[in-house]
Amino acid sequence: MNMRSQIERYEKLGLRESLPKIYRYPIACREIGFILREAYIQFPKNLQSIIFHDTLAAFRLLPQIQTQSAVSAVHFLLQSVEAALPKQKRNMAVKEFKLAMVAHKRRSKPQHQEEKDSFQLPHDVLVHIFSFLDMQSLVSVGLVCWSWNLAANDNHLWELQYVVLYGNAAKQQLINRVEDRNKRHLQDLTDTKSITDWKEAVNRAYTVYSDAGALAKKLTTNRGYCVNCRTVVWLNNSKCPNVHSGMISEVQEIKPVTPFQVVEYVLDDSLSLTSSSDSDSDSEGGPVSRLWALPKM
Amino acid sequence: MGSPLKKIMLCSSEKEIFSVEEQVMVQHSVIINNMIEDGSYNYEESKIPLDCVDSKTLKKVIDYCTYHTHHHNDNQEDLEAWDAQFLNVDSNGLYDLLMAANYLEIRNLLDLIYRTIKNMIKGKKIDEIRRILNIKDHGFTPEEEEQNRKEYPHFY
Repeated sequence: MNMRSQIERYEKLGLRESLPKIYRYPIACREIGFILREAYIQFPKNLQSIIFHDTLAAFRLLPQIQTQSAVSAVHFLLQSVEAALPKQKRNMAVKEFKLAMVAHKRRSKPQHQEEKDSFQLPHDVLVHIFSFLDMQSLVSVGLVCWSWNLAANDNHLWELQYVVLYGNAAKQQLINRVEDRNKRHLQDLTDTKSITDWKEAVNRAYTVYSDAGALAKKLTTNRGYCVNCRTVVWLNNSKCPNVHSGMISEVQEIKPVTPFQVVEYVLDDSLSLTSSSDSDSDSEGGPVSRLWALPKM
Repeated sequence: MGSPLKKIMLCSSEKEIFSVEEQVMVQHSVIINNMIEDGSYNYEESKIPLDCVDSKTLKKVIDYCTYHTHHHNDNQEDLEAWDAQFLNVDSNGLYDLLMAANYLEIRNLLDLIYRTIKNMIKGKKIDEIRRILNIKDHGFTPEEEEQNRKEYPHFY
């Protein structure tokens, strides 16, 4: 019974499906690595076999991914393989790793040599594409080049981010407050239509919120534990992707998880997420840094 | 809507003529649909000039529309696999396709390209994005660039 639910919980992590996605690949690799190290020997044979095959799949996909974080995640996975797997499986996995590294190097070469025009997209196209990004990526693409910076600072994009973080109700409150103030100050002006600087609003709201540390942790990872689903989920813009019947998506609760907690979750469904006290203490010491300045895990 | 076997002519920037089933383009391109519907296309003489689309790109666009017209009943997974293979092009090819899809208003192809570009940049380091998209001149002053690198070292 317990054996079966361990497999179910492992499957629910959605690691295999996430490996082909460039931005999830490194996280999935690390989680598999942690699971190998911490729990592999305790698992029943059939689950061990699933994890082993996911490990091979992770190595095989490396040539398609082509990012630095993928390469370092794969090295971490290799170390875990060497530490945890029995000899025969370990040899198979190491062989797969070597093949993948060769293919990866071969593929990344022509990209360097391909020297053509640079890739300049029109402003509205950039804004549209950036509207699919989470906040961290949005800040990051703003640093790529000047025209991207312009697009990534588009007010509407930050309005969307504000809503994602604090919900529609908070957004409406803020608009009302700004309008009130404008009415008082600009009574003689005909056009009192307010324009809120949403990037500034996101930044300010973040520093004001007391749970800033927890929030920032939430934002720096694509992983979280959804209290409603009682599952570790892949976050979609800091939200659980599952639909919760009878619940407004704005009030769902997501807790940040570390790879160790993921292992705990697969092992015995108990997540030591009792309180966010650890993150509170983080935010007390010194001034709160700007939220997107926090390093990625 | 015309009969399924009627053909229309598309003319690329190199003045190469492509003959396509009308139904295929009408279903996918808003612009061509409008042209056919308002009767401005003459089947005997007209060819639609696409001055900003080169032959290579136009051929790909036609491939996309044709495939999706004839395979729209396939299961989602097969279609996605085909799409992924279809967009396995370098960044310049992707850019040309984007511009063509935008000009012809082919919504599903546009969405596909947007998603692909999003996946190309999401979760990547800035130096990697610059390399992949071949952005050599980022346009920041050396001071700004240095400041950004200091402030957000983990993004580079």
